[in-house]
Amino acid sequence: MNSGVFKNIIRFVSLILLQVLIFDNIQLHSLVVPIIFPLIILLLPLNLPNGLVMLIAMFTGLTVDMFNNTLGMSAAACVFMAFLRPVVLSWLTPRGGYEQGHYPSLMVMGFSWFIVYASICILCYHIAYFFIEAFSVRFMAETILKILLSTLISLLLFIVHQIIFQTKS
Amino acid sequence: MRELIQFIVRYNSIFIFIILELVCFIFLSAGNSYQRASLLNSANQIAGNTFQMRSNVSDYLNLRTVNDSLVRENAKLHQQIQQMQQADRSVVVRDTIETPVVINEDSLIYDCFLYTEAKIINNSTNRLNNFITLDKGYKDGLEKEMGLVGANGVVGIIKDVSANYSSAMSLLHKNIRISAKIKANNYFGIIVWQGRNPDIVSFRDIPNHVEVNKGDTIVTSGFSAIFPEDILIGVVEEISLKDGANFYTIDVRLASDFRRLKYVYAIENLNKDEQLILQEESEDE
Repeated sequence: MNSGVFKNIIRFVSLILLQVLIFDNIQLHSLVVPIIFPLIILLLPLNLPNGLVMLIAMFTGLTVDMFNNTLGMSAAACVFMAFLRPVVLSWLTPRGGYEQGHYPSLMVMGFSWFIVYASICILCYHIAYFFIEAFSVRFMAETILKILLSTLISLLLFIVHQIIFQTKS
Repeated sequence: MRELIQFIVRYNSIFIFIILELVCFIFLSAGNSYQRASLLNSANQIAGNTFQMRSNVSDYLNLRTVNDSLVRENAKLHQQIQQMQQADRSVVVRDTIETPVVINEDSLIYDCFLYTEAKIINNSTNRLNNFITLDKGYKDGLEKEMGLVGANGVVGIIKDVSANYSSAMSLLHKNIRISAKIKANNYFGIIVWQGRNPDIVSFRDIPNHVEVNKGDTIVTSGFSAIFPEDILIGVVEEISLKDGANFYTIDVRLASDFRRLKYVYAIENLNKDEQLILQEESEDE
């Protein structure tokens, strides 16, 4: 249990640093915003109560917001994603259900399961984030394009991260 | 009552969700207001130190481009010094021929802006509201609402200041408004960013009878007490006039490349308080 908490804290710090020091500085195009830190929330243990997951999500979002001067924006999107996470998880329940203490990672759940899970969650995140950022329907076409492209790039980052840092727990 | 509690317990995650989202939106609206400084911004110690750390490493990678731009700026400044010296001499000559006038009043214009150099340690261009973090804070004399200019013109306005760091609204911010004019004929309007291309801003409020050409230089108007007059912003890229509209829609290509900014100057207007008080007084009347 304790090593699990420790692992999550390490992941939190490393992914936040990766996000604000490297990925926030990669400016491929004004339509692409590469994002990796929501992985912190996606990889939380399955048996964690949902309220706690949302609180962690808010804290994570606020930390990133502090670096980006977007107070509340990432946090709102993260909470939204964390709220929908159990819904997605229950859709994707494998035959026989989840095992106790499982992590929803690529290694444990398999490649195709992880891709579906991560893409739905990160899509929810980006929809919330970019609509809050635009706060109007004026940039509709652009916002939708931004959502799709950023989701694609972020998903790619997630998979690469999961392949590099393979953990069974 | 028991049913109500049961209801809340049963749907507890929805209630937690709503409460947390409400908190986030309160943060959001507080952070967006221009006047109120917030504690959680990139000017605070944690964010500033982190960015400084990265900057210490990554600075070595851009030394060559930074050097090139500094040399270019130096050359430009040398040229300006020379022009100014010549202009000064002509003033003196004319004065001695006519009556000996006191020219101290004019020197006020040169003295009232103070420049402080600062390094950019974090910058973004792909959001709708872009911010810049600088490696100097109030210990170095930086204050809220000071203007920032780079080697090639206007960069932004400082929004929050801590002891050692400050964060500024980039010109690429949805809410920024900068008073500007066409250099050739002094007609003034407002520069705003449309939130799309980090190279293009739009220049508004120019009436349709004014002559505007592609390639015209747009500079600051000096009306705002934040920026001095005649600081470069960009050149006119495209002019269009919608049917029946009284004002042009003008696209201006920015002179500075916001993706490559490294060093900026923060401008302090020493006469700012006086100017603002005077403006307020005359508005009240």
